[in-house]
Amino acid sequence: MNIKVLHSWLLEYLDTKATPPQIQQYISLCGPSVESVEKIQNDWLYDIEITSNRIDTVSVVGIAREISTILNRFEIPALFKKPILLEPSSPNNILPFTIKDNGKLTKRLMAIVMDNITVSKSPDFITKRLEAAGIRSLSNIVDITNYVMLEIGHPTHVFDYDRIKTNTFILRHANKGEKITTLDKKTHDLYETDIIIDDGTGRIIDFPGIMGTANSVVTDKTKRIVFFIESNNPQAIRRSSMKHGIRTMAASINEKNPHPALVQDALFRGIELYQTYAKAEIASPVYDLYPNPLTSKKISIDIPFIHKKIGVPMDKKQIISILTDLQFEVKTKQDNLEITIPTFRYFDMYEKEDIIEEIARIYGYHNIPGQLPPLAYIQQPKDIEQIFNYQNVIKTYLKHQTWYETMNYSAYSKLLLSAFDLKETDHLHITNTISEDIKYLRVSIIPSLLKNIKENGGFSTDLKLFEIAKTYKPQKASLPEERFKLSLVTKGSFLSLKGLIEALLKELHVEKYSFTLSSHPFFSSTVQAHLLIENVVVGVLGKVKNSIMEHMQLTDSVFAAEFDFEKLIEKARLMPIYKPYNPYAAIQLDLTTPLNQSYAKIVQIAKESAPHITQITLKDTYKDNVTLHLIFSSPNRNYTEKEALIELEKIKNNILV
Amino acid sequence: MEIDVTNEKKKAIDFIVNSSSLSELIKTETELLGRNGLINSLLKQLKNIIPEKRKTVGININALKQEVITLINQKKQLLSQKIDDKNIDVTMPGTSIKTGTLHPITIAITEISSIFSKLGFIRMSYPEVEWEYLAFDTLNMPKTHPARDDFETTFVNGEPHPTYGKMILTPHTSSGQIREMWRLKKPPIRMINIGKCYRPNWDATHTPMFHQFEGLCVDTDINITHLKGALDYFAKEYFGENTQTRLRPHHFQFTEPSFEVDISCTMCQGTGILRQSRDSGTSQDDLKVKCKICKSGWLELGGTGMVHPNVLISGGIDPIKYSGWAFGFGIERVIMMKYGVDDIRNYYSGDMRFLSQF
Repeated sequence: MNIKVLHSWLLEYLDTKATPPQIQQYISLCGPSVESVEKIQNDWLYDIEITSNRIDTVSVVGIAREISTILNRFEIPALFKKPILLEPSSPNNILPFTIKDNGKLTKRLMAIVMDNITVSKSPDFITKRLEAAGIRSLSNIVDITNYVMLEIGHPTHVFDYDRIKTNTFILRHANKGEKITTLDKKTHDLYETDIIIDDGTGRIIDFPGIMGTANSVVTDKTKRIVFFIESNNPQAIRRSSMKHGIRTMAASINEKNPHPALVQDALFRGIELYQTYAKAEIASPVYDLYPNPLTSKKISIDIPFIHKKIGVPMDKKQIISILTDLQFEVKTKQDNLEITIPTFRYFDMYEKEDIIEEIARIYGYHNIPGQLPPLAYIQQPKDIEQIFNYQNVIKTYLKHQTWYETMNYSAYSKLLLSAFDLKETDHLHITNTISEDIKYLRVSIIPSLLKNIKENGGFSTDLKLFEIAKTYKPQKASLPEERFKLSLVTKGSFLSLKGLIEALLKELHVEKYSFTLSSHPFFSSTVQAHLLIENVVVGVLGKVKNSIMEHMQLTDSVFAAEFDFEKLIEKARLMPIYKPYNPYAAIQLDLTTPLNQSYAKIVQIAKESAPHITQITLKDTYKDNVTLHLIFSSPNRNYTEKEALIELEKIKNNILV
Repeated sequence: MEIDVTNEKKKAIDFIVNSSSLSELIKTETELLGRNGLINSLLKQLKNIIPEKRKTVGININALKQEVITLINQKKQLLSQKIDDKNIDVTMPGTSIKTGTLHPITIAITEISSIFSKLGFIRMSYPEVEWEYLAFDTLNMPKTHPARDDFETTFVNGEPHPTYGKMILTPHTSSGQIREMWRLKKPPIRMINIGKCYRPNWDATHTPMFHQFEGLCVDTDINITHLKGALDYFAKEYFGENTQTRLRPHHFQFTEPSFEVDISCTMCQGTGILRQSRDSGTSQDDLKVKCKICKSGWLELGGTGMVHPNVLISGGIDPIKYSGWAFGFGIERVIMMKYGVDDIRNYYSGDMRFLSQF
């Protein structure tokens, strides 16, 4: 959360000649991050980020304290002026009230009644400071509650005494079915985990720590008030605030656990302001219910441990000086320090590492030298190494074959998956997605790629896209199976896609592969094939079927392929198996033959008919014929053309049979 | 017997002059200067000349040899010039070769992995669909802690686990820290986890899916100096050797101390000011404009810190014997800082006008 504080307010608790830009610079280096400092007329406004562990700095007093510690480290004199808070005088007459917290729902509860209230506009300085902080100025009696919260760092509340006829305040859990109408005129159905204040008749008069209620809030007719501050259970506050969506500054502070000692500081300060600016008269003793006062906390730490964790051999004197600057009490016994934590740091200092952070940040991170971590050999698991290595190899290869890499979101819409005849129930989905477009975790990359083709309508007729990404297959009683897929789409042709895949397999030096007709639901039943590597199905390619094309409103044919990435690279090699080349002459002949059976069958016949064939490649196709280029050779002599022609005849005959 | 050097010289010159191509000239060269060529055969015949005249004839033959060599070289040059093509327009584009492109995230991941692999860090990959327990509880963020607010979570409809809680899409690569600790069981640990993360935000600077890279270094005696050193090393390698880094205090539940790390602004070189020349000849008149992309010369890189002892304990590692540092940065962010690619939504739009640039 952020707070906005005027420099003039800060100077009530801080004596320094440092300029606001200087303060911004030094504080951000060693403490809370001052995101900006803006000149406003003859004042300055700080915008400071408060981290959830440093709720002690969410106030003007807290920030002033932090600034004085840090500036002094940079040898800029700065004095923290602790607020002087006096116990209020005894009341002249007493207005009664009763507070009950039998369930021990608060850690501390303080209250006081004040009479003779004069409701009016707040004095200028209060209005200015509140509005700079982003809080609306309403009337003096409301403003003082907020002013104290910003100054001291603990939320406070004020009731109209006369609107609570029973003068009773009972803290309890809400019951099922109860409702509350908060100050902003909204009504909420309460949960049993919510803590509320009941006036003894069952009537709810406050949502403590979160927001006041319409029925007990002060008005301009208010004459008598109950100034009421409770230290709430931070988890209960957070739960109630989040569940109801009421994110007031009070709730944001209370859920971060301000120390109960601040309750008294806030009460005394508020009383002083009511007396000065609302003509208030004390009408009760100070009520203080604090059954279990927090005792002081001590952390023990050794100097060698400090050196080890920070990596700088700071001398003992310097360490102690930093800790005392932070108002930590230090008792030394040789190399051991026993550190007493001040109340305002109670809830964020737990162990030795927290002390390390305090010492290191005040010493200055800029003063700590840097060195590289020592080298150590960790073996990367081979399967992971292979995946990353081949992802690079394949992506780079595809890039140079004029394909474009794309990355899509990991989920698609119901509309898209139904265009592909996929079932919602076969997918995991995001239950709180911010868009219906990204709801179902992908089981195939192809739908996203087709969406890319569609959306790039105007770009090119020869769009070639690929993506390597995970798909998510739901598994019973376990996280989904996440597997990388390589997917491609092109508007070219089946053979151009197949040719690219064959070239890729060559690049990977995969030798034993084959294609067989498949029956995958994404593709036309006659134009699709499985890729098998050593008889294991690795993926599929084909022409996207018409029904999908219609759903996607695409007209030009689209061809797609998808492979299980790990299976694809399983037989990949960096270098093929070396075959010593044949030093003897080879005979090269062409053979044109009708495609009276599948290409694979013809090649098989040729190989079986001619034992001296060492290579067969497709040279040309024309109508129903193919021209094969054949190479004949012998490993131990020069093969002759005469012999080759004899084998060629055999092949011709066997094909035509 | 006589050797008529003058006559031989005339014949040789004729041959050379009449060579109309380099290959003819080379033939002529062999015929005249080769092992069995004219000059050598003349030299062989010297023994048949009477001794008194041998010296003179020998000198003349060698003079002829030198002349032939010179003439051949001259002719070679002449012929080479003639073979040159007519003048071409060297500004005409060459035969075009098309290529596709890699996604900028892929390029960044390769660069980042390589930078850290030099330090011995291995790149790992961990689940994107994860249990709440590994994304929060083991990282010192119990359900009730307000710090959990900062990670608005993307929930998945898988069946919750009795111990590990609800199934989510991980909001950060930090869940990989615990998994790596469980995998290795014992330091040394040197991990870079690069992966997709998910948070329900969608605007010019946030996408519901983005990439992070997480560094984790655990060993005996790891301290703040090692963190500083590693961050400084990365910043200089990735952004340039003049890049400065600085740490500022911050708070994360899973590190103690926690920091935010800034680098000196790549735009204004860390000065906070951009100078725009006014063409007046001196830099004194330059317009000084506040650099728009940084905060007083610094750009925020990301979060980092010393691994919290509770996190080590969740990872099954003794926090007394071992310590470590960790960081997590957004990849889209570092690309933006280095190359100026701005609207983050471009990365996952599949728009060719974006992809084809790389």
